[in-house]
Amino acid sequence: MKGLYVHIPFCGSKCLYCDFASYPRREADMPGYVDAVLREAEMRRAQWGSFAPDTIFWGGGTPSLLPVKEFVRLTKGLGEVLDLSRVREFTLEANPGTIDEEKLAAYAACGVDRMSLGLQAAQPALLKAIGRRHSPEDFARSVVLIRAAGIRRVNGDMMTGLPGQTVAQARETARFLTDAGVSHVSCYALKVEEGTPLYGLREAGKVQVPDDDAERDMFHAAREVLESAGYARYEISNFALPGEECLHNLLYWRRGQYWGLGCAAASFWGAERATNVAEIDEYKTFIDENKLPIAGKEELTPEDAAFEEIMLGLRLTRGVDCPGFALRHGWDLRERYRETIEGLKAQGLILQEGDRLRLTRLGMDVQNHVLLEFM
Amino acid sequence: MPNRQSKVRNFCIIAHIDHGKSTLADRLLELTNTVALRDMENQLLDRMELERERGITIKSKAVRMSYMALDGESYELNLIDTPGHVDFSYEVSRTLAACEGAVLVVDATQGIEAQTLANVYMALEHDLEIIPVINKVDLPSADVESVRHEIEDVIGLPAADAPAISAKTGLNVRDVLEQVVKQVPPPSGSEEKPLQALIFDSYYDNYKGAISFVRMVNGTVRPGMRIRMMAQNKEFDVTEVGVFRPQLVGTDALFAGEVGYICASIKNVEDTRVGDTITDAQAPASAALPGYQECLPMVYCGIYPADGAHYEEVKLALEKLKLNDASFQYEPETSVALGFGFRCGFLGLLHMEIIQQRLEREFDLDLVTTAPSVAYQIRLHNGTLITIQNPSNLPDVSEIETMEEPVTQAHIISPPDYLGAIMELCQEKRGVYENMTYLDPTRVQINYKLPLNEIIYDFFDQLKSRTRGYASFDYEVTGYEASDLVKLDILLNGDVCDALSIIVHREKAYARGRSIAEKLQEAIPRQQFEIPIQACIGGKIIARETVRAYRKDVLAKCYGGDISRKRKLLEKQKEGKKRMRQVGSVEVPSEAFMSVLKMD
Repeated sequence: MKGLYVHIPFCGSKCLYCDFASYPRREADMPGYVDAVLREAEMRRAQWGSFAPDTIFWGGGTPSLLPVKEFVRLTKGLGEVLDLSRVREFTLEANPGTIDEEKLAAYAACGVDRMSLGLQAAQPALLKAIGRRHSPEDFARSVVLIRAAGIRRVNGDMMTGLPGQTVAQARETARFLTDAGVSHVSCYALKVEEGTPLYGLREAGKVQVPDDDAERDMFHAAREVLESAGYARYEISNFALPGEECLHNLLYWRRGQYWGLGCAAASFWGAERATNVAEIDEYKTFIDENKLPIAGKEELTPEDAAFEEIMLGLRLTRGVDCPGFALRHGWDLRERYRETIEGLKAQGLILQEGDRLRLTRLGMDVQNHVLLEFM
Repeated sequence: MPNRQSKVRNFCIIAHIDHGKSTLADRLLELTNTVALRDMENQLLDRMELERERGITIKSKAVRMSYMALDGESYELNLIDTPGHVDFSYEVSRTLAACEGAVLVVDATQGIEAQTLANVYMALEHDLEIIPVINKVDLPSADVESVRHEIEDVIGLPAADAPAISAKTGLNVRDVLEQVVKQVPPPSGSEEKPLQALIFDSYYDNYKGAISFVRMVNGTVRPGMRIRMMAQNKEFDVTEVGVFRPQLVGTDALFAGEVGYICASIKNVEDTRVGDTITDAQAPASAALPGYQECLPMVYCGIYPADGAHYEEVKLALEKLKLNDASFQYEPETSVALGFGFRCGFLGLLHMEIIQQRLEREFDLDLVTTAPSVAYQIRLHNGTLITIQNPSNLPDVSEIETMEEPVTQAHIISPPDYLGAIMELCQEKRGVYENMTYLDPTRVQINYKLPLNEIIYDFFDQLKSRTRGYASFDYEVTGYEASDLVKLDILLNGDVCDALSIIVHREKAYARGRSIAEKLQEAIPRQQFEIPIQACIGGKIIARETVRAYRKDVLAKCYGGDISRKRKLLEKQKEGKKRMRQVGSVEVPSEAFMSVLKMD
């Protein structure tokens, strides 16, 4: 399995917690940006050879902000540079209220078969507190429109640990998503990153962010709602109806190879992980000068690769496949870390089920602690 | 008296911290062209970076100046710089013994302070001619006349002719030199008598070995002579003698009355102990000069590498510091909580702070220091008397007959407004009031008997904050007294953490136990399980706090672009874990050991 990620850095407004490469009010830059991404695809092909991804994911920013014309130009253009005949999943991120019938028809026509929408919270006051511009109803209407356009698979994002959020509200938001009929839910704990407006507000004492204990209470309340509605937790923050897991994201956690195109996009090719420059203009300058827009890269050692597999594999509910791990890395996880594993089992954090090593529900809450034992 | 000797003046400058001693020394060097103006750096005599930064003198130094006086004669003036702080009082006392006179600097805006008095009394004990000088007269708040009265009333020195100077601008500084020439008597002593040279300082040079700074009292010393250190009873061959300009400049010989240095390929600074007498091994003096005493550390603490892997580096650094500081002591010790480290002994709190900072700064070491302790004397039921410097070495209560702790004579000078606050603080610190004297209507001196173990725990900080920095403070250890002391242990998840044990007075135990438990509760990060923190005395729990188990340590989002960053974050977290100490099942960050020292 191989994946293609495309980063669309434009957004209508910046949410207070956002530390992604996304830039509001840059509509004028869109055509030039599309040109640059297409050019990067050509440069990548020249360097890495032909590419036939199994999954495509467009993230942002808000990819749905691209005008139909630019969206079509980019998908068609990529189709000319890459071999898209094997694609089994094509996800596009969107914000409620930024999509209409015309756009959705174009998406469907171009092969989009999965949309990811940010709800974050089902309470207008909470949405306002984190700088989101849509209403819960916008979200519900968007889901209906997506379905009407023939796109069956929809993810809804929600957050726990928002300023002023209660456990009851987290539960209500999860219920709102299941009622809206999404096929997949990502439930993220808010992380207040340095440099975001929310960070400043919190430091200034203007905003109270729930502590870890309160956040976990919210998360687990939401988890219970989702699980009892048939959404299985298949990764630390992700839930899906049977067969509705996101293939593209699973590829990340299984250490599949992927190309990332666009500013701030990351690639994993061969043994190298590389990240593109984050800023739109800097990205374009690189491309204009016919240079790969790389901000940083690293060549993984065999030990790095093995640790990554543990780190990523233990995010998944099914865990790490030990015989497969031994085949790929030449040593048996269960032997080298026998004592560590026994200790973690005694703490109730890890389980060994047949050939698989996986985290318990408790272990998932403290995954970092578990991982440090494998370093 | 040979003519040479009659033109020599040996003097020192004594002052309270910040009253301008080093600045005055700089001006004197300029005025006598001892140092070319272009080589002048502020506070030239304070060589150590730390000394400059804190504006204090830690080790004494000396310099020879040639001065053409107004009487038309040329004089050799030896200025010996003294440490101002009581921790180094023995060094001060030896410096004074090397002089015939002392310039007493008093700040025209502050008047007499606690250290001024302590130094003056010491100078009087050594029969020095004291020349009062009023400094900082350029400042708007200077009150020269009332300081003159204060000097006369409090110290009893005539001050009508005391030069009113500004060491900063150079105003009237020449008057100081004139007074030194006129009032300080030339050295007595005889070049014909057997050699007696008083060591008032020493330091280690990588090439020359330990160098003794000496005041020649009698006799002559030249390269090639065999000398004997009278207290250490060791002999060496002199390789070089010379004077300070202020850098070392070799000469043919040093004569009675002079101040200079002696090198004799001495490998160990321990062999050049301050206060010892150097004599001629072939024709020794019948007796050593009076007053040599072994400098005993009064304050102790454990010093450990923050990362146990750096033990050897800490050891090397301590060895190097010890080369230049014979009064600092250390020996290896092992702590269950902190692993391998050292129990270090210091003359006092400032000395401890300076050594810790030099270790961190000059040697770039990351250290964990345990709470300072004093040396307790303990008599056991079986009659033996032991001294313990580390609270965790205290024998079981059932074996102890009596315990004694060091007590001090403390002097505090402050504006009367803060009298209440100071007395309250001293009472809290188990002080015994002795007496009180008004130095003038605006300042009062209060004397208390205070246990040293109370002074080493936040006394300075409390005094400063309760008097808004107006009070000055000094103390000297006067002896040992019986006291009702107990060992306070800290249990983390049921296991005693030896590095956190302290010895306290029984009445203080509850408050200290509560405060330590509270601070640890903040300093210890949440872990996999709930951690009870208990303070206890002999098995009886007197305070308890709890660090709740953590419930979350996970990155919610980890997609394509997050993977490298995530691995780096974990590596950093792993590094941080290395700085944690394992106490039983609990991981304790290095910072936690220090946090218990901080005042509330």
